[in-house]
Amino acid sequence: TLITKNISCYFMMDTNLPKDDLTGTIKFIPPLYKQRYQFIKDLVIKYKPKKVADLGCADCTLLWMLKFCKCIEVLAGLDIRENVMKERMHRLSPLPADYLQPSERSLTVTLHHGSVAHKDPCMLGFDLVTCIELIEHLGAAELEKFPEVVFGFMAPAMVVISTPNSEFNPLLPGVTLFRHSDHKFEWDRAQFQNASTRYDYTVEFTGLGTPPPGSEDVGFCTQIGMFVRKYPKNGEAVNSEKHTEHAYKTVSISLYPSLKEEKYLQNAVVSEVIFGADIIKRRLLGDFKSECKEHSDDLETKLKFQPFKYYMRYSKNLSLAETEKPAADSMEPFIDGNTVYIPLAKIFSIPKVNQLCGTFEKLSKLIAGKVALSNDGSAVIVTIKYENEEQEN
Amino acid sequence: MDPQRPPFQAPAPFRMPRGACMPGPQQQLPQPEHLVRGRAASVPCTSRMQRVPEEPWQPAGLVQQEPLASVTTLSSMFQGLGFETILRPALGRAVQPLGRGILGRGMGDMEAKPKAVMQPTFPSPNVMPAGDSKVERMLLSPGRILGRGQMEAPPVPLGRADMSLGRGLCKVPTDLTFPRTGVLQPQLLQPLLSPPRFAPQPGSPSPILVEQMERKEPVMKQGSKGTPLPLGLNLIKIHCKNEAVYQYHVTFSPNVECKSMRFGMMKEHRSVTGEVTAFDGSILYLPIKLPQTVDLTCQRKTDGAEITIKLQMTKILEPSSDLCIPFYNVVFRRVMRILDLKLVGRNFYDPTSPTMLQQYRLQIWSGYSASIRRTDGGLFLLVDVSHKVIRNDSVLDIMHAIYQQSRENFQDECTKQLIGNIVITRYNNHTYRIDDIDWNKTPKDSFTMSDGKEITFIDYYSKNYGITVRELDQPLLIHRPNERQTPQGKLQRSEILLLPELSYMTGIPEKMKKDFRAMKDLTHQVNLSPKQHHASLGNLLHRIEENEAARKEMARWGLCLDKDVYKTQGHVLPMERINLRTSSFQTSEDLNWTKEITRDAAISTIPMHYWALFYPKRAVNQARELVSMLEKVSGPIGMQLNQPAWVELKDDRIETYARTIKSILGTEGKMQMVVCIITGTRDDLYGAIKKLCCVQSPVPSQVINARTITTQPNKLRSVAQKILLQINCKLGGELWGMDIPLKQLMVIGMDVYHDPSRGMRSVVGFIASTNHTLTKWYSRVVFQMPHQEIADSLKLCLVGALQKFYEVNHCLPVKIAVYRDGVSDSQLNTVVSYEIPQLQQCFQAFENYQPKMVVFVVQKKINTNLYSASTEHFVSPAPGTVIDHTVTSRDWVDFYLLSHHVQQGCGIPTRYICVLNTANLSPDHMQRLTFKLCHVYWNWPGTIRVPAPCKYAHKLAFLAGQFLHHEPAIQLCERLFFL
Repeated sequence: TLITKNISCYFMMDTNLPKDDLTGTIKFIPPLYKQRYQFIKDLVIKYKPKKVADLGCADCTLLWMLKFCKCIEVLAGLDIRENVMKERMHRLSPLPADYLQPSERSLTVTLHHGSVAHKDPCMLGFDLVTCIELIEHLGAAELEKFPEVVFGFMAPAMVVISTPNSEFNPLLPGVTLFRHSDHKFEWDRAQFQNASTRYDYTVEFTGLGTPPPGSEDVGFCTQIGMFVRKYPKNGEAVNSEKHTEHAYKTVSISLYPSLKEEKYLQNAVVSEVIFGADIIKRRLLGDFKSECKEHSDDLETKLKFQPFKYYMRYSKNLSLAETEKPAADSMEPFIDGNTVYIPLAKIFSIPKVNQLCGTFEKLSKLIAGKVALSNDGSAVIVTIKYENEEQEN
Repeated sequence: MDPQRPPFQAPAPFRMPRGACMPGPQQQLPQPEHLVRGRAASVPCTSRMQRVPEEPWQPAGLVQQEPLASVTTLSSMFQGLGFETILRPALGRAVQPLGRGILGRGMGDMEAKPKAVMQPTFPSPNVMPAGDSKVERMLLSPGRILGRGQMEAPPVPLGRADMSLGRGLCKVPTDLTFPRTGVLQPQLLQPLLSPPRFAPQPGSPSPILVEQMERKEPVMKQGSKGTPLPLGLNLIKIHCKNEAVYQYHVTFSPNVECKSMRFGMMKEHRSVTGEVTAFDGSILYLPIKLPQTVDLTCQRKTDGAEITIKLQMTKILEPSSDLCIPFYNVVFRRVMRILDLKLVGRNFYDPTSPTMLQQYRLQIWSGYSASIRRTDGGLFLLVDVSHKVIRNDSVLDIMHAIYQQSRENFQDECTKQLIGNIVITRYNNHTYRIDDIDWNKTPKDSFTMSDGKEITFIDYYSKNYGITVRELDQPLLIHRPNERQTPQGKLQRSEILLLPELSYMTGIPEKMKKDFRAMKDLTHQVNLSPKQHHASLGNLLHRIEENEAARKEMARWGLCLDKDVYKTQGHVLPMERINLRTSSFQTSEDLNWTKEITRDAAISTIPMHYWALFYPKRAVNQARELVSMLEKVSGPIGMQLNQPAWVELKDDRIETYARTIKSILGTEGKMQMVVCIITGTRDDLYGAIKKLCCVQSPVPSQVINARTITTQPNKLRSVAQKILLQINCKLGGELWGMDIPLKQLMVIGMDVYHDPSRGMRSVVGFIASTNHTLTKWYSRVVFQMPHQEIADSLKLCLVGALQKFYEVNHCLPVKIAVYRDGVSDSQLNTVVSYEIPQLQQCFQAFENYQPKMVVFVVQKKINTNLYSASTEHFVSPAPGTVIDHTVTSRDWVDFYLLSHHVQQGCGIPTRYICVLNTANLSPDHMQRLTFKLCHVYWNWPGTIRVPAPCKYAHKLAFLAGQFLHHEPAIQLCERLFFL
C-alpha cells in the first residue's frame, strides 16, 4: 500500500540537486520516514509487545528493524502489493549466523498479502498493530471498513496510526494537492482526530517533524495517533471463532532458530557439555602434569607407555575398589587410565549448562546418546589423546 | 552498511558479478593442503602416501575460498531485479588484473584468423543484419572482469578485445551505440569498425543488431586418441523457452544522475516493461519486445520536474547470450533463496540440519555452489555440492581461548591464528577476510557513517541491530576490501572494522588440521561418492521442480532445467609406459607403481658416501633402525650407501640442531646430505633446519619425524624405501621416466604461493626441464611484493633455465611447454598479454632464437565433476579420462583431464586451458603430453592431479614462502632439494 516509505520523504534533499534549490525547503534530519520507524521501534522497546503487526508493510523495512527487538516473538506484515513486499522480503529470513547461536526467544515473521478492509484470523491476538502512512492510501470503501477491522476485529492492545498532516503542506515546495499521487486524501489535525474516536480505545495524538519557526501552529508534518485498548481483552476467543475464514494469502513464513526448539537446545547443551568437560580435563591434566614433572621430564612418553591411575587430590586416598564405581554423589572428576571421568553433577554445575537445561533431568535427557558417558551414565568420559600422536597416523 | 565504509561511491555501472561464472574458487590462498601436508614431503609417511596420492583434502567445496566482503558495487544491475547486493568474489590477491599490458600489446606471433560468420537468427522487420563480414560481435562472457579501470557505461570489457586478438579472432563490440564510450575504446576499435556503426548521431535511431547464434568456427579442441567412456557431469542443461531477450538503451532527459532514482522511475513503468526486467541504470533487458523507441514520462520527486525516459531497442539477443548470464545468475540465486538456502559467501547452505563436530566446536553445513554458464555445449547450470565449516564461537571467544593459553604472546598468537581467516557477521549476511587487528581501537571508538555522522560502534550496533556489545574493551578486526577504482580513476582504499564479538570464524581450525583423526572424520563427511554426489544434485533439482515459486522464478526469463545431469561421452587416454634404468613396464589400472620402483634400479642413483645423521639422544634407537633398514633397501634401488656420520644431540632444541649441523658442515666439506630425525611435528625446527640447509649452507637435507620410524615398525621397510628414493632425488638422481615423443622440448612449471600473514607477499616457484627425458630440472624462486605484476622476474628464471639447457644439451630447446598454475579465469588475459610476452622476450637473449611455445593454464580448483556412466550407478572415472567438448569454454582451447586415481569422493578433473600454441600441438598431443607429465612426480609412484612440473613448482614456492622466507641458494638449483 505504501510506496512512500522507501521513496522516503520528499523533503529529504537529494545531494545531487543544485545548491539553490535547497534554500527555502524543509529538511528533516534524520529523514522523516526514518523518524517514523524509529518512533515505532522506541515504542516497542518501551512497551515490549510480543506480537506486532505492520499493516501496509511495503518493502518490510519496519519489520526488518523490529526483528532485532528481543521482546518480539511474532511479527506479521500485511500489504496489498505483493510484489513490493516480495522484493526485499528476504531481509526478514534468518541470517546464517542466527543458526550458530540460536537465540532464547522464538521468532516467526509472516508476510500476508491482502487488504486491511478484510478480516483474517491470523491478525488476532496482537499486542501492537502499526499503520504507518497507510490510511491516506485507502479508498473510501476500504477506509470505511478499516476501523472495524483494526479496532473491532483485530483489537490489539495498542494501535499506532500515522498519516500526513495536510496543514503542513503549504510549507512543502512542489506539493500542490497531496504529497503523493497515490494519496486518496490528506487530513488536517481535526479531521484525523475526529475520525479516531470510536471503539474502546483511549487515544493520544502526537507527531513527527516539527514545523519551522514562525509556522508552529500548523503542527507536525506527520501526525500520529496512539490508541490503547481500555480493557484487557477477554472476548478474543469468540472473535476468532467467528472468522475462521482466511482472507489473506500467506506470502512467506520465516521461522527463526531458537533454543525453544529441542534440536537447537540439544546442540547448544551438548556443545557446552563437551567444551566444559574438555576444560575440566585440561585443568586436571595440568595439575597432573605439574606433579609428574618431578618424576619425569618426558611426560609424553610416560603417559603413553606406562598407563597408571591418577586421582585428583580429593580422590587420591580412595582405594582402587572404590574408584571403580565412581560415586554418583561425588562431584569431583578423576582420571582412570587414559580416561577422564567427570560426574554429571559437576557438569550440571557449569553455569551455562545449568542455565540452558534448568534441571538435571533435562541435562541427562539432552546429552543421552550425544556425549560419551560412563557405563552407569553418571559421568561424562573423555579419553586423553596425546597430541603428537594424532598428527601423523 | 558497514562501519567505516566510505560513502557510497557511484560504482561502475555495469560490473559483471565475477562470481557469476567463476564458481571455481581461484583465490590464491594457501590451501589447507599446504598447511597439513607441507611436512609430508620431508617426513615421508608411508601410510599417508599410500592413502592419498595427491591433495587428500580436496573434498569438493569444503575448503573453498570465500568471497570477501562485498561492497555494493554490483548492485546496480540487480536492483532492477530487486536484489540485494551480490557478494563479490575475491580475485587472487597478488595477481592483479591490471590494465597494464593488456591494451595494444602486439600479438605479433599469433595468427589472426578473423572468422566472420554472421547469420541473423531472429528475422524481424526492424532488424538490420549485423555488420559486414569484417565485423564480428564482441563476446561478452560473464564473470570476466573488465580490467581495473572501470569505464563508465559500456559493458564492453576492453580486456576481452585484446584477448580476442590473442586468440586470433577479431571481434568488435556491436553495442557501441552508447554515448558514453570510454576513452580507450575508440583507439582500440577504430581500425576495426565501420564508421557508421560507431557513435551514431545522438537521437537518431540506432541500428538494431541481432546477436548471432554463436556459429563461429568451433575451435579445434577435441582429441581422438583413447577409448570412449560414457560420462555424467555435474551440469544441468538449461532450456531457453523465450524466443529472445531484448536489450534497450535508456536515456533520461534531463539527465538523472541518481541511480536509485533511475531505478525508481523505471519501476513506475512496469505497466509498459512488464514485471520481468533487468536494469543497470542505463541498459535494460526485457524478455518482451517493445516498439523500437518508447518514450515515457516521470515526475522527479525532489523537484517535480518532468523527466522523459527514452527506451531504444539496441539489440535482440538470443536467450542464451553471454550478456544474459549475469542476470540469469541473479535469478538463480533467488531460486536458491526461495528454497530457503542461506547465502554464505558465494554458495548456498542449509544451516537447519548441520553436522556438529562438538569436540572442535564447529559445525558443517552442506549446500551447493551453483552458477549458470555458457559453454561450448550451450547454457548450463553447474552445480557442485559444497560444505561450509563454521565455528560455534565468535572471534572474541577464540581470542579469550588464546589468552588463556598464551598470555605473554597474546597479540602475536591472535595475529597468527586469526589473520587470513574468513568471518561471517551476526547481523548481516556478509563474509569478510581478517586482514589485520587494530589493538588500539575498541567498540567505544567512533567511525563516520555514510551520512557524515560520527557514531560509536556500540551505538551503531545497538541502534541498527538491537545488539548490545558486551565486551567493551575488545580490539577490532580490520578487513581491507580489494582496492577499487572509482570512475574518476582514483584508487579507493578503505577499511572495514569488525567487532570480534559479532564475528564468527569459518574454516577448519589450525588445531584440528593437525588432528589427523578429526580430519579423516571431516573428509568422510564431506567427500561424497559419485553416487551420493549425483543424488544430492538430484535432490536439488527435485526441490526446484517441486517448488512452484522457484520454478516460476526461472520461467520469468523462460529458463527451464533438465530433470537430470548432463550425460555425454569422454575418452580415456591410453595407459603409459614407465622407464626405469634397465626395465620398463606398462602402468596398471590403479596407476600405482610402488612395487616396481622399489624392486628395480632407478634411472640413475647418486652414491651417498658422505652423509650425516642428526638425532636427539632419545631417538638413538630409531636412528639405528632407520640406517640399517636404509642399507637393506638400497640394494634393489641400486643406490650405494655408506654409513653416516652419527651425530647424537643432547637435546632437541632448535639451537642444538642448528649449531651442530653448522659445525659439522663447516668441518666436513664433502658432506652430500644432512638427515635429521626430529621428535614430533615441529614447524619451527623444520623451518630452521631447512633455512640452514637451503639458504645459509646449501646442502640437500632430509628431515624425518621419529614417529614415522617407530609407530609402525612393520612398515619401516616401505618408509625407508620412500626416504631413500627421496634422498636420491635430492642428491640429483633420477627415479623413473616416460617416453617423450617431442624432441628438444623444455617443460616449464610455475606456481605462486601467497603468504597470508606477510603482507600478501607472494612467491613464484619456477621449474624447467633441462634434458630430453624430462628427468633433470632447473629451479628458481622469485619473491614478489604485493601488487607486483604476475611473475615480474620471469625473464631471469627462463634465461637461466635456457642457459642451463644449453649447457646440458649443447642446444636450445625447439619447443617450450609451460604449465602455469594458480591463474583464475579472470586473469587469463593477464597471462596472455603480460606474462607470455615477458617469457618471449627472453629469447632475444640468444641469437636467432625463436622457439615454439605452448602455454597451459592449469586449474585444479574447479567445480566440474566427472562421473563414469558406464555402470548402473555413477562411479569415479578411470585415471586418464578426458572431456574436451560441451563443458569446455567457448573462448579457449581447453580440456578437462582426470589424471589421478580417485580414492574417495568424486572425480574432480583438472582443467587445462591452452592460452598460446605456436608449437601447433594438436589436441591429442596436448592431452597426452599433459597426462604423461602427471606420471613423473617422483614423490609419488603414481599419477597426480597436475603435471609434475606444476607440483614441483608448487612445492618449491611453498617451501620458500612458508619456511625459508628467502630464495634458496643457487647451488641447489639443479636438484629437487625441495621435495
